[in-house]
Amino acid sequence: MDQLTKPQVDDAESLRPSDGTMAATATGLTKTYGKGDTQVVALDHVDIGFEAARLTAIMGPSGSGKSTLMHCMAGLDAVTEGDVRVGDTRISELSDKELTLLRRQRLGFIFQAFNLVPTLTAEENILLPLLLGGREPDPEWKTQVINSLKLDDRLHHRPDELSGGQQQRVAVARALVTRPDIIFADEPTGNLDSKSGHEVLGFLRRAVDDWHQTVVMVTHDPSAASYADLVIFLRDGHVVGRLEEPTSDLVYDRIKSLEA
Amino acid sequence: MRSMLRLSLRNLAGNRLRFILTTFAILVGVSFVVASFVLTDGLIRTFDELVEDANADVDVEVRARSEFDEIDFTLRPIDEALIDVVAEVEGVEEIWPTASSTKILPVKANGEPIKTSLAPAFSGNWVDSSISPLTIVEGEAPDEPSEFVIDETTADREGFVVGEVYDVIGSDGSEPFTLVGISRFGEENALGGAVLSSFTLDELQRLDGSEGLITVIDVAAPDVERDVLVDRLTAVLPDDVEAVDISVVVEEAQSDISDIIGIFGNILLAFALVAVFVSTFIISNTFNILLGQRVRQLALLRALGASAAQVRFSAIFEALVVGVVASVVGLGGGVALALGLRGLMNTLGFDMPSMDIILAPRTIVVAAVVGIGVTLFASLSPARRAATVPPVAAMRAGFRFGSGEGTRRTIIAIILSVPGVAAMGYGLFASSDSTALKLAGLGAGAVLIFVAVSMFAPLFSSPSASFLGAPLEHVPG
Repeated sequence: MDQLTKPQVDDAESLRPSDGTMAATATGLTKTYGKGDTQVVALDHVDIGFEAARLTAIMGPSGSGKSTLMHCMAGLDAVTEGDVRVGDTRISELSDKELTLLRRQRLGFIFQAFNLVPTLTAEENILLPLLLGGREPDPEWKTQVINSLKLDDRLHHRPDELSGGQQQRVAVARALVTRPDIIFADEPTGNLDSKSGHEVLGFLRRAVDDWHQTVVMVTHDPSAASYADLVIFLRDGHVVGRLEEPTSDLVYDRIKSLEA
Repeated sequence: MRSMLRLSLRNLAGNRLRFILTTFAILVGVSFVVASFVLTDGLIRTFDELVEDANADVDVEVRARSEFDEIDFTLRPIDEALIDVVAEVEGVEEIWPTASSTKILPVKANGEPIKTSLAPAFSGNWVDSSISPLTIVEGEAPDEPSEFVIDETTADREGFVVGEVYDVIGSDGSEPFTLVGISRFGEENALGGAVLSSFTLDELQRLDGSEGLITVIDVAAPDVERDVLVDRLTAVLPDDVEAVDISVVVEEAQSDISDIIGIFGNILLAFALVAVFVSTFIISNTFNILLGQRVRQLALLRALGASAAQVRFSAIFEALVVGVVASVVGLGGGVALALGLRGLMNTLGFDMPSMDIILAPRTIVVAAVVGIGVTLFASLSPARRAATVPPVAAMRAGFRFGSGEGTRRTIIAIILSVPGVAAMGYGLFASSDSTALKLAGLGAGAVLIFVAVSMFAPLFSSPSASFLGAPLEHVPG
């Protein structure tokens, strides 16, 4: 695979190597659904931080609150209680307009499925967050991202003309092209065969290593989690464990012990 | 916003069949509205020209003085002795005394009377006058008591042959007459399906039972000023007979014809408004279904940084494009529909003269207002709902729009529908007031009822939407 080269960044602040700075933090984050007897506590006073320029995986059984955690951290869902910050911005206090701008300018998203607008070409999908803000892409950076993801001959194809792996690479390129503070990836390999899945994870890994991109990924797949620098385990709305330098086997064992 | 415009256009282009179906629903309403205007405008102009042509060489008409300002269709007859009086007036070069009757009907060779269910049969006296619009195209004019001529359309349709003898029914039973010629009214014999037979003046009066009486005397006096001629005639005419500048007579006739065509046009327009009303409802529901299908895409856009305003705007812009296309195509469709309706009328036996296609500025404005306005209006509520899709729905399957505050909606809907029904009823059934006022009532009523229905819509939108939307479910979206 191509070696990813370090981007020429004017504003290098958000893309420096990991030094322990937190790209996003949550303090006492609580999220409940419903009221009274039917109330469900999805997240219960969670304290958590995602280190900059690292790939953090969030794992847990279904219903553990891992997706809710990501939605709340990414400003996609309102928190019930607690303080969520992206960098220095308290997003729990932002209006819908401010949240929209935050997502557009400072966050990147990769979803499990339905990542792309079906009527737009691959290139238009990649540039969509920029276009929504009326911004022009930095041509060098755009070329670099597209070449790195091996999409240069797929730019004018519609999503339905692309394989699942190619579609997910377009989504990765879209997340990278704005050089966001954090990329949130929700089961990014959930719909892919294992070869395409590892390809996509390899790109994310190298975006962290070579470009010092911060990535937070929700997954239930131990081998996907093994690409991370740190795995955070969730159960019943609580953080129940952390694993540095994970391997598939270590992650698998930890999950077994959590489910026991 | 430009990216959202592009996205809207792509969404439309990416689902051509769906776009065509959506556009078609509005187009039907627009076409009906345009057709009713084009048809009435065309007919009014045509009949206006016919009236003008028929009186082109006439300067003044002598007729019974009406007791009312408004001349009704049947004038009181005047004494035929006035023909000589008028002819003596200084400057008068040509006179065209006319008597007409609706009591006379020729019978076909097989003994059946001519069918006159579609338009009246009327008879007149033949006058060899250069100012009459009638000409003989075959045979000769009647100058013996037992002779008559008939118009060429009727002759062709009913099989009348010059030289044959036919029974003619008059007010005192039937008697035989010889058909001596075929007449033509104007250039096309466009009588609107009416049957026109002509006799000598004495025979006409006898058959009608109105001996000694005529209807009007038209006068040509090219060398005299019209007001001078009117004065000279007035001086010699009895008090209950007047001389009128022909332009006044033409205007009166045109206004009468406009009123009749206007009634016909209003009936068409009422159909059109029903079509518009129905299409608005369909469109509003369709937009809601389409948005339901696109929830994940909308949520994705929101997650990627599209503002609520951008999402709302893109939905409205899509509707705008649909509305513009529907208006433009609807204009063409309306013209085609008008021509089709005229063809249908000809087939049914109303002989319409070759009609001008008049696309008045008013017609274009109304087409645009109806097409664009209705579509935009119908898209407002779905667009507002589209903007409420939470970005997190991009990652959750099964997000559904809520139906909103049901009770409040119902109350407002009922409050709006009462004056809506009243206004529409006034527009449709009120008899005395002006046409414009009735149309305004009809329009305002339709709008109010639409708003009311669309507010009710969420309450029964699931069954009706799945019914109306059934064909769309299979359209890839």
